Amino acid sequence: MDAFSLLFFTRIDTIVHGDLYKYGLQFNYAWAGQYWTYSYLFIDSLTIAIIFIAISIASFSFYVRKHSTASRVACYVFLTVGTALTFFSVYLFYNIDYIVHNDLYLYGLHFSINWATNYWTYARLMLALIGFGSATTITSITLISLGARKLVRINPAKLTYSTLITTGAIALFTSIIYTSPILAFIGLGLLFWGITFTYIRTEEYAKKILLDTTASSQQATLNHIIQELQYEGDVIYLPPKYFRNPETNKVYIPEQKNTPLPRPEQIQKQEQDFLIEKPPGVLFTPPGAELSKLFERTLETSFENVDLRYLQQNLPKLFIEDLEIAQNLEMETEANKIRIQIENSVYKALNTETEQPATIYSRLGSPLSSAIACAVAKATGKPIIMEKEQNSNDGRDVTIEYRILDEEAQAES
Amino acid sequence: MMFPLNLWDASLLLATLAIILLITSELLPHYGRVRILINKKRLRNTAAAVSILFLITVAIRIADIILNH
Repeated sequence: MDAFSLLFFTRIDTIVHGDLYKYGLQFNYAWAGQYWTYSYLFIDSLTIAIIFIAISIASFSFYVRKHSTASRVACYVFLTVGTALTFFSVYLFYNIDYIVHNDLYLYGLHFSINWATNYWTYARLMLALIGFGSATTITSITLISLGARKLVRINPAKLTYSTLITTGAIALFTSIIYTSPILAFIGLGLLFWGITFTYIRTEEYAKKILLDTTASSQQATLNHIIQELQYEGDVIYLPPKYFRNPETNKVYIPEQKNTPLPRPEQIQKQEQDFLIEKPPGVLFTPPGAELSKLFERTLETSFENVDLRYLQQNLPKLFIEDLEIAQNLEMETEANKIRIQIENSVYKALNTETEQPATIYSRLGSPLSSAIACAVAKATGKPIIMEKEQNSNDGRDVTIEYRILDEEAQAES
Repeated sequence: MMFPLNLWDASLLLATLAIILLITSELLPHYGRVRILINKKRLRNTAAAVSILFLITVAIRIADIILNH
């Protein structure tokens, strides 16, 4: 870039020392002395910059092979000095330009668009090349310094939006200086895309496979414990009144089938225990407890303060738009039964790919069905049993059926 | 030094941006199975905000025409 800039400068010099004499310019050492000084300084500084950049490239290739610190430092130093000299040459050129556009008119020069067009074209091409070369050098310095770190992670999205915003801001600022609508449009467009790119990856992104593999082993352990204990009763999701802290979500599995439901006071006394004695059973946090709390946080409410109708109205939006965990959700209630149909759930792989027997899943449920059970138990204020969780053959759709328990009837039985 | 765009230019730009944002927000899959994550709700809100700004510029122009006649 810098070498081509030198070539364009020789063209400018030809215009000044050739063409301008045809437009009335009189030779005088007063202007020529200054002009030559700046010209020689310009050529020298740009030549030294080219040499320094060449040395830094050689140092970098040595660094790539040997990983020596000295070569890396040499690369930095030569690149930095080379860039500084390039900027200095731009300053010198502006002095030359000042002489041409001011001093030379005092020595008989007449303005003409003929010589001015050629002069401006070469000058702009030269400055553009120097600017592009300097930008490339600065990028190289940044990348080399990033590459020297032990752990480098360049975020392409971040790099893209930073570049777009910076370029857009520069274009917009330049458009104001030169009153150029085209530059203003370019600047605003770049700024717009830069800002749009900042909204990409607004949330932490993790591959779905991580979710499946992490959750499945924990659930498998829980299932295994329950299986070993040989507790045969139904999995009952208890409402908040069974606990001292109303935010608690827990399930109770009685030892025997058809065991009467314990009273809230009985559970409250033993709520910190896993194995409870009166009545015998296990009490533990279900797989969907935290997910249910996330539902509450997203909806900015507590399920304790809402009813089943609220869930029916808000769960589809929560699943489809807010949390994007499913493509569709339908909730139907009929007497004490609740039927939920979920299409294209993100938890489908968990239900189909883990090796646990289906019977265990039908009892504890997937994290999603468990979370809904927690929400329903809180909203209704009654214990809930998940009666059925049925996956379609391809695992894409899930149908879950819950039953609301009548505590009085349970206690009487 | 002055800003080189007038109200009409800004209006045109806002209209274009609103259309781009709205189309992008509607073309994004309805639920997230994409490699690029973008907050769809925020994108749609921005599109609405830009559209309102565009309508304001139109209203200013209409008011200007009525008042000058």
